[in-house]
Order: sequence, then C-alpha cells, then structure tokens
Amino acid sequence: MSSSNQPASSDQPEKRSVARGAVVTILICSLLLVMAGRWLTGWQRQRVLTNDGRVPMASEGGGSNLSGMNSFALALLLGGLRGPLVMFLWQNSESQKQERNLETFDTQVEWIRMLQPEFDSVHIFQMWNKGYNISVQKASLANKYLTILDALDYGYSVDSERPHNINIIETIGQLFFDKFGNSAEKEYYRQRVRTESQWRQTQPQRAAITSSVRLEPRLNPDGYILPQYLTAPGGDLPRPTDLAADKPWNTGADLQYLKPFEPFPYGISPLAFAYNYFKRAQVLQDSAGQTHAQLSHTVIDSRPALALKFWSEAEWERGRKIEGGLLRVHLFSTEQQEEQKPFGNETLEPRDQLELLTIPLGFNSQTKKLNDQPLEADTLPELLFSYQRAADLAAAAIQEYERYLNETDFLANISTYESHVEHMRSVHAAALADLAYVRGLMLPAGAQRQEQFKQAAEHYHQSIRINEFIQLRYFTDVRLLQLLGADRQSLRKLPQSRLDQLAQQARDAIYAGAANPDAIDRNEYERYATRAHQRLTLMGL
Amino acid sequence: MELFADNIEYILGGAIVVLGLLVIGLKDVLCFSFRRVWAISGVVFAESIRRRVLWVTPLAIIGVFIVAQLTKPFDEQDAIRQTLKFSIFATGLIVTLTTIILAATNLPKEIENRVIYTVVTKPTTRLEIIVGKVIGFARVSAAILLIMGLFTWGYLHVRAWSLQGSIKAGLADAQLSQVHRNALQHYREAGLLRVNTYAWSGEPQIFSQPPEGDRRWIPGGDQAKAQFFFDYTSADFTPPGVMPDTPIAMALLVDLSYQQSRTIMPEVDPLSAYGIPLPSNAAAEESTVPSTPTPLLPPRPRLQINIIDSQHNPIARPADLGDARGIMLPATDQFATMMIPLPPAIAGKLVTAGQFAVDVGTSALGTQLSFRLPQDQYQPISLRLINPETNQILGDLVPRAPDPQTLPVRFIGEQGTFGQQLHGDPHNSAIAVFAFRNTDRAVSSDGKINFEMNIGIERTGAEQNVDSDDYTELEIRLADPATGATSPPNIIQAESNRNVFFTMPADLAQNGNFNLLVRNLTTGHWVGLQARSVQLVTGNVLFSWNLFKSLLMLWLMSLLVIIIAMFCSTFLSWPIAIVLAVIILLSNWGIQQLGDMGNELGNQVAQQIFGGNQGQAPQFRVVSSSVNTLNKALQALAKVLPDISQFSAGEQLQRGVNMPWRQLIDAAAVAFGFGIPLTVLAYLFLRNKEVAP
Repeated sequence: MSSSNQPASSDQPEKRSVARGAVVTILICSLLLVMAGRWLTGWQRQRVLTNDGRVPMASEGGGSNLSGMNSFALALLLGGLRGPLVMFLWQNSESQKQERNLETFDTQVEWIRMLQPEFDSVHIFQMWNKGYNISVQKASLANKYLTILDALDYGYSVDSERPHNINIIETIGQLFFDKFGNSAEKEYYRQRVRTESQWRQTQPQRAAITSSVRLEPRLNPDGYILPQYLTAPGGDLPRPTDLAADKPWNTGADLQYLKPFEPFPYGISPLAFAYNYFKRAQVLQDSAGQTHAQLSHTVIDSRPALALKFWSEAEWERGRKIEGGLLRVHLFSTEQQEEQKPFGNETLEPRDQLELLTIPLGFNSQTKKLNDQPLEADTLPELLFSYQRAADLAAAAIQEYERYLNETDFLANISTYESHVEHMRSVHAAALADLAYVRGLMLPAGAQRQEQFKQAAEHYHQSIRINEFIQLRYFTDVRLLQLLGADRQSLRKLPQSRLDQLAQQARDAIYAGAANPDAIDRNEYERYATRAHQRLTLMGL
Repeated sequence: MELFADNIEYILGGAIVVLGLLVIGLKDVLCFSFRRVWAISGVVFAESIRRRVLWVTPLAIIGVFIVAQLTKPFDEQDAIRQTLKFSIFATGLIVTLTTIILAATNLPKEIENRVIYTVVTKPTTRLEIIVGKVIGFARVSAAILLIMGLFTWGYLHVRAWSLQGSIKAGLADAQLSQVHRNALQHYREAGLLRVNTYAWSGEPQIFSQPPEGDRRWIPGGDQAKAQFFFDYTSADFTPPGVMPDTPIAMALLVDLSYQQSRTIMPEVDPLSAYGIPLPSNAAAEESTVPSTPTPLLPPRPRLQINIIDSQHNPIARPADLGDARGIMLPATDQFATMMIPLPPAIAGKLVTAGQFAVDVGTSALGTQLSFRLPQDQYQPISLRLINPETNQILGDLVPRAPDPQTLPVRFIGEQGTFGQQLHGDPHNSAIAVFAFRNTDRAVSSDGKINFEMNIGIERTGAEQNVDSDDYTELEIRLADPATGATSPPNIIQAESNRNVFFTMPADLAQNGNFNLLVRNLTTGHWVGLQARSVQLVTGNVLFSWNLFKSLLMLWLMSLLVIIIAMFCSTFLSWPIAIVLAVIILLSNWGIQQLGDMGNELGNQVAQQIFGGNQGQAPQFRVVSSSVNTLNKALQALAKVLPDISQFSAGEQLQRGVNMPWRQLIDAAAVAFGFGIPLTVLAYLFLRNKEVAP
C-alpha cells in the first residue's frame, strides 16, 4: 500500500507549492482590489462631503494613535475582529449604563470611539450619551459637570481628528447650550464655565486621569481669547474665491465667532460657546454645503440666533442678580410661592421675581426719593458690563434672526421667530435703559445724573412701547382685539398713539374680566413694562 | 427520591469512578505507577514547550500593556483595577485557549501520526496515559500562569509606584473636592495594591431615632416600615383542641404608640410668614408687624398595613382592610393596642400561604411610630384566631422567624434603585443602623477603626439652583448597643458608586459589637443602602498572596478544561472535541441564564409567537408549558455540568478584597468533582479504543 503511493507522494510537495502560490496570489490581488475599492469610495465620499473640494477635510488614517488608523487597517490589525469587538463593547457599555455600573464605561466608550472613528452618528450618540444619560446618574453637581465636560472632551478629540465636521461641531454646541446653558442645574454650570474659562495657571495633568477635571482656560489675564483658540491648528483655511463677500467663512479657529465680543472680563458664558459652535455649524452648512446627519437645515440655520437670544437673556439676568445682591433681595422658593402665593396665582422664576424686586434700586425709603449720593459697590462695573453686553447681544441676535428669516427657504418660520425678534428688541431697550439708570445712580445728584436719566427715560419709554406691542400682537385674545377695532396683522401699520390707546383698553378689559388665555406670557411683558413705568416714576420723568 | 435528585451529580460521579476504576479498570489501578505517569507528563510538557506554546505569553503581555494604555480610569485606584482586570482576563484567556487546544488535539494527532505507538507499546496502562497527559498539560498551564503571574505582579507594582506621582499631583490641587481628596489621601497612605479583609453587618435598618433598649421608632412619610414575619404552616391555623371544620375568623392585634412633631401654619401674610425681608423701601412701607401665627396640629395619622407572602406578592393592602387611606390611629400618645379584623378572603389567603409578613408603617409626614421588640411575655403584633360563631378566642399566632435565633421583625426603608432609601434632611433625617456583631477589627495606631462605604445616590427631579458642588453629606456615628453611648459625629461627603474611606474611634467597639448610625444631611438626595454598603476593615494581606490565590483558581479552571478537552478527544476528532469541550464548559452558565427567568420564559416565548391574540389561548398554554418543561429539563441537566462561575478569579483581586479559602475550596470541588469522573470516563473510552495494531 505504502509502496504504491510512493510516486504520487513525491509529486505532492510540488503541487502543494503551486497551490500555495495561487492562493497567495489571489489573496494579494484581493487585498489590492479591496484597497482600490476603498480608495475610490473614500474619494467619492470626500468629494460629496467637501462640496467638490471647497472644504478641506481631515485626512483619515494618518493619525498617530489607534483612532487615527482607518477601519481597514484596524480590521487587519485585529484580524477581522473589529466588528465583533465593537458589538461586544456597545452591548456591554449599554447594559452597564442600564445597571448604573459605570466602572469601565468610559474605557469602553473610548474604545468604541477608537474602533469606529469614521462614524459620525456613533460620536453624536456617545457625546449625547455621556452628556445626558450618564451625567444624570451622578449625584453631585460637581460630578455631573465633570461628566458633561468628559462628553465635550470626547467631542474635542474627534474634532481634532476630523475637523470641520458639522456633526461634531454642532453636538459640542448643543452640549454647551442644552446642558451647561439651559439644564435644571444651569446656575451651577454657567458660573463654573465662566470661572474656569478665565485665565489661570494650569495644573499639571494627573498621569492616571485622562479626563478633564476642569475646563481649560480660554482667556488671557485681560479677558481676551488666547491666540491658540483664534487660529486654526494647521493655519487658517483659505477662503474660497467664489464665496460671496458678505458670506462668513470658517477659518478653522476654535472660537472664531467670539472674537467680535471680546473682552470677557467675567469669563465666557456657556451660551457664548454654544453660539460660537452653532455659528460654525451653520456656516459649514451654508457656505461649505455640509449636511447634518440628524438635524434639518432649518434647525442648524436657526441655532446661532437662538443661542444669541439666550446669551443676551443670561447677561440681562446677571445684571438683575447683581441689582438683587445690592438690595439684598431674598427670593421666594417655588414651595413658598405655591403655599403662600406672594405673586398672585403665578409661581415666578427667580429672574421674574428679580424683575419686580429690584425696581427700587437707589431709592431711599426714609426720604421717599432717590439717594443724592452716588451709588457705590464693587459689583457695579460688572453690572454695567452685563447690561451693555445684554444690549449688544440683543442687537446681534436681531441681526442673526433677520439673516435667518431673509433666507427664502425659511419664510415659513417667520411666525415662529418674529416674536423672538420683538423680544430681543424689548431686551435691548430694557438693558440700555437699566444701564443708563445705573450710570446715573453712580453719579451725584445733578446735571450729569439727569443727563443719564434722560437717556434711561428714553429707553424705558421705548421698552414700554415694545412690551405693550408684544402683548397686543401675540398675547391678547383675538376676539378682544376685534372688539377694540383692531386685528393682529394690521397692528404694525397703526400709529403709536392708537397702539397706546389699544394697550390701555386691552389692559382695562382684562382687569374687568375679559378672556386672557395667554395670561402667563402677557404678564411677563406686563412686568417689563411695569418695571419701566416704576423706574420712570423713581426718576421723576 | 428527592435526595437522589438533589445529589444526582455526586451519585453519578461516584458511580463512574467506582465502576470505572474498581470494576472495569481494577487491573490498571493495581499496576498504577506515579513514576510512569510523571514520565508521560514530562514528555507532554517537553513536547508543548518544543511547540513554542510559551510564546503566547509575550503576546499576551504586549496586549495587556497596550490595552492598559488605552483605558480611561476615573482615578488612580481605578487605573490599577482596570489594569489588573485586563491582566487576569488575558491570563485566563490564554491559559484556557492554550490548554483546550493542546489537550483536545493531542490524542487525535498522536493517533493520526502514530506517535501513540511509541507509548502504548511500552508497559504503560491507558489510565497512566490519560493521567500523565492531564498532569503534563496542567504543568504547561502552571508554567503559563507563573509567567503571567510574575508579569502581573511586576507590572502592577511598577504602575502603582508611578501612579503615586499622579496622586501627589492630585493632592496638590487646591480646588480638589473633599470626596476626591479623601480618596487620594487614602490611596497615598494605604497604597494602591492593598488587600483587605472585611466584615459586614446584616441588612441596615431604618429608624427615626437611635434604638433605645427594646424601643424602636420608625419615621412616617412612607420612609420606613416594621416588617413582622409569620413562619407557619396551614395546619398551625387550627389550634390544638379545635375541630378542623371549626370556622375561624382572624384579627391583627397591633400594639404601638406614635408622636407627631410636624405642625402646620395657619394662613398668614405670605411675606411675614417666612420672615423674608423685603427690599429696603418696600419693607419701610410695611408698617404693621404681623402677629406670630399659632401652630396647628395636623390631623391624626393613619396606619398603613400590608401583608405579603414569602414571594413578596401582596395578600392584603390597606384598601382590603377597610380604608385605602389606612386605619386611624387612636387619640393617645401612649402605647395602645389596635384590633384590626381581617376579611374572610384575606384570612383564607393567610391559611394557604402559611408564611407571610405584615408590614406596618404610616405615610403621615412628621409622624413617628414606636414599637417594643417582641419578648417572651410581650408581642407588638399577633394574629388572633377567633370562632366567629361564639366569639371565643381560639389562640394567637405571634411573629416567628424561620431562624429561631433571629428576631421576627425588621425595620426597613422604602426600596429604591440602590437599596433602602435614606431621605436627606439636615434636621430630621431618618437614621440607618448597621449592626456589627462579633467582629474582629483592625485598630490603627491612633485608636481608630477603618470603614469603606459604597452607596448609590438618587436625587429628586427639582431644579438645582445651587452654586455649590452639592456633594451628599452623611453624618456617621458609632454607638455601643450595650450602653447606648455614641461617638461624636463624623461628617463625610459621598458620591454615587464611589468608595468613601472613613475612620471612627475604636473605644466604643471594644468587644466587636457596635452599631454604625448613618444620617443623610442633604435635602433632595436619597441614599440607597444595602448590607454591603458599609464594610469594616478587619485586617490586610499581601497583594502577592491574593494574586497567588487567583492564579491558583485559574489553574484549577485550566485543569478542568484539560480534562474535558481530553475526554472529548478520546471519542471525537479534535475540531469537534474543541467545540464540545467549549459547549460543556459554557452550558451550565447558559442554562442558568435561562433558569433565572423561571416560568416567565414560557410566557415570553408564547407571547412573542401569539402576541395578544386571545383566540389562541390553548396554543399559548401549550407553547408556554412546553418551553417551561424544556427549561426544567435543562435545569436538571445543568446539575451534571460544571459551573465555571465558581472560577471567578479576578473580582476579589480587583476590589482589593482578600479571597477567602472557601472560594478556592468551592472551585476545587467543581474542578475535581467533575474532573475525576471525566478522567475515568476518558480512560474507559481510550481503553476500548483501538489506537495501535
């Protein structure tokens, strides 16, 4: 048996060698074909994403770390196990989240980021996941803050590897806007972001901890943005020659759109950060033709104006708080309001309470008139800055809203955003009025103070007119307006005297029991007008 | 029969060993030589080394090193923990993969390439061949474990040493929170590779004030309840001397007192009620000083009684006992006994259940209920059995715990996500009591004993308009239950699922019996507590010793893997043998996952198939019961499959907890309990296999 097989077995090594050679050749050819296919796909993707090369994109696969390697290289390195590994990590991290056992959660998310560097939806989800789902599992505000900061770190890491990406930049802005700027814990977050954005000598990073323990400073000691945040890492991106002169262009600098608002002597508000990133995302959409993976064109385009509006309101509110501090006002908690109703049937937010409780700034209850001596306090410069900043931002927001509403695609949204513009006009007038009022109080009684008060009175009158118009236009029952001989659409065409008359008639009718379906909103603008009236009375103008 | 079913794995294993060695293979047993076995194992070991098996260890080391650099720990201890986790995981993985491949391929390949001739033609028995090969591969796995163990030990020490610089940098940060500073100081002093032994209390109990003698107080507002156990059988509901068909009515007798501390304020001027100053001008205009409001007592509180069975299913709710709001407490602040008749339907359910618990509490805020502990002559609660026709008292069933040594009552808080909830209140917080009894304790040089705490914290959804870091503050006191003396408070800050380290004076814990009293001072924070939330450090051992024990456990696991793979390879080709070995190893775990679902599995499967289609109820029942029967059969099968969850080597090591010998003994029982019968089976298969002409 063995002897009969002898001749055949001597041929076997040769045959094997030929077969092996064929297999190796096929493998190499397949590899080359796959690489060529990938290159072609990547080229096509690049062309689409960069709007035919108008926007430079980050090169993929040239990084020095794991996430810098493209998926092809990673798949080869992991022997094709990248997919199963990622699936395991996703499932494990999500079940850890459900079980509230976060011991290796961050490590797993970091690995997912490294193993799936090319998938924007992964990054959007994980930033959102950390910023929203994980942060709420922490008990202390400090650790909630650090978790959101970690979500931002994640975003910045991806941004450094894949710069000029609308998905990442918009999500960073969203974290600043929704979490640091507008969440239930915003009081703590806003103050902490402001403080930590200011200049400080940075501590050496703890070797073991890769997450940030605080926000990196963005400002120099004078409150100006540090140069590294105003220039792109690899140099500013050249502006396309065919781009219209009035169109903004992202240079690639991180805080490009905050430059016009310098200086920031009291730190940068998270809403300012949000505006900056929203604006960058909007310009990437508008001028570079990028499309967000999950949000519509309209949403991306409206965000900068919305962020400016909230930023302006936040600055305005800071001013009110400083006034409250000067008057040592104690605010009512929600429970106190609900049990005792000091403001009628409404429960008011702190900012709304401050609107009324800070009216008597500078008023002497003994002499029943404003103090003749100049108002003095350490916080006055910050108060003036806040009101000036609120007014500037309101003006900027109006411009941004007008840009947005002038876009033909967005005319359908005019009914939604028109009220925002009116509100910003109200804030603008009120902030300038309060600014002039405080400036007047800082001067001794006399001609100079009166000059400031005249300016204040002008703005307070304007504020009253705007607030009464807003009440009529948006928050007065349509049937009541009809009874008074007017309608919402034609209000703009009416002379001021007629508007004043209508406002008074509507107020009287509501006090007499007429329907007031938008009472809460109407009362808000009523408070603004009341404040202006009261201040005018205090000034005797 | 039940005894047979419960111990089927031991009976089967014993039968295989006896039958295989003392009946079939007696001749081979009698001429068994350890010298020949050792020689065979030496050949196997040398062959494995020659095949460069140990080269897998540098690869694993490089892998661990790379992965350790890519971790994202939250602090230095976590960095060590994660590194250790990857090291142990890599060690377990390579030792399992290597041994399963070596053991499963060895015999089939030796038979295929006829190397086996050189062994079987020598004066060796098949038993010696099998045992020799098992020992040989066990030596290979020991060598791998030795290399990986030395690497883990060295790498962890280098890493711990380098992380001390990181700790120093962290402590130099002036803005570091107290929670993190506390942890870093502990890491600096105790080291990152510390291994402690711990003692735990039982389940914490929740009170409104510290226990005093036999008096216990629980807070109202549904924060806690007294739970009385009744461990009886249906027969106990017919007292001696009472005819079985005698109708029986029941009533609960509850003896307690209560105090109300909360008052409500009458309607007064909103501003003055809270003493809130108005702005200066506005205050000046307020010329009248409001009179001091007279506090009013709230209405009398109500008692909520719930009865649950041993599976925590409700038997009776307050509504079943007459009023959904509960039963009005008597108008006295003295102890008073209330009699609460039970409807016949509830009484019937109690007889059927036999074992049940009565929960007593109140939802009235600011009210505390007071109980006396059960004693020989006194019971705070009893179930009275009455003849409804004659109103004759037939007897009382008093609380009785399954274990006669334990009290039949416990005082427990509301269950939240992380355990019993302790609501935060800086003034009137409830108190959680962790009772440590007969514990050793390691006393430091400054007369302190060390504790570690790990709790979960939930928050109310209210807007957090605060400008502080808002860490949860806890007040800890140590109390001597014999004298009632308590230590000064120790205020600590805690974060959810993070270890907090604190010390307490040892003088009140001299005899090892003491209570740890915990109060939550932070409004809006709810602390979740469990039995293991607080642990007392009783001593420490060397990290290397704990590492050795973990590696020993991995070695036991590898031994089992080798035996199973070897067994499979005696009757299957090597690829199939590997697959079957993996299936045998993982089956028990998989079946346990299904078993955890109980009868729900059948319902779930049927639900998925039929949805909510009511018309297919018979089919639904058929599928549901079939799946449940299959599940039960699988559970029975699982008893004869090895439980690899007993080989969890990394968990204790990562947490710095001394691995108890008991755990190693359990692992050895699985390894040898399944390993020896399988070795005998492998021998029997090989004995009857023609491997050489």
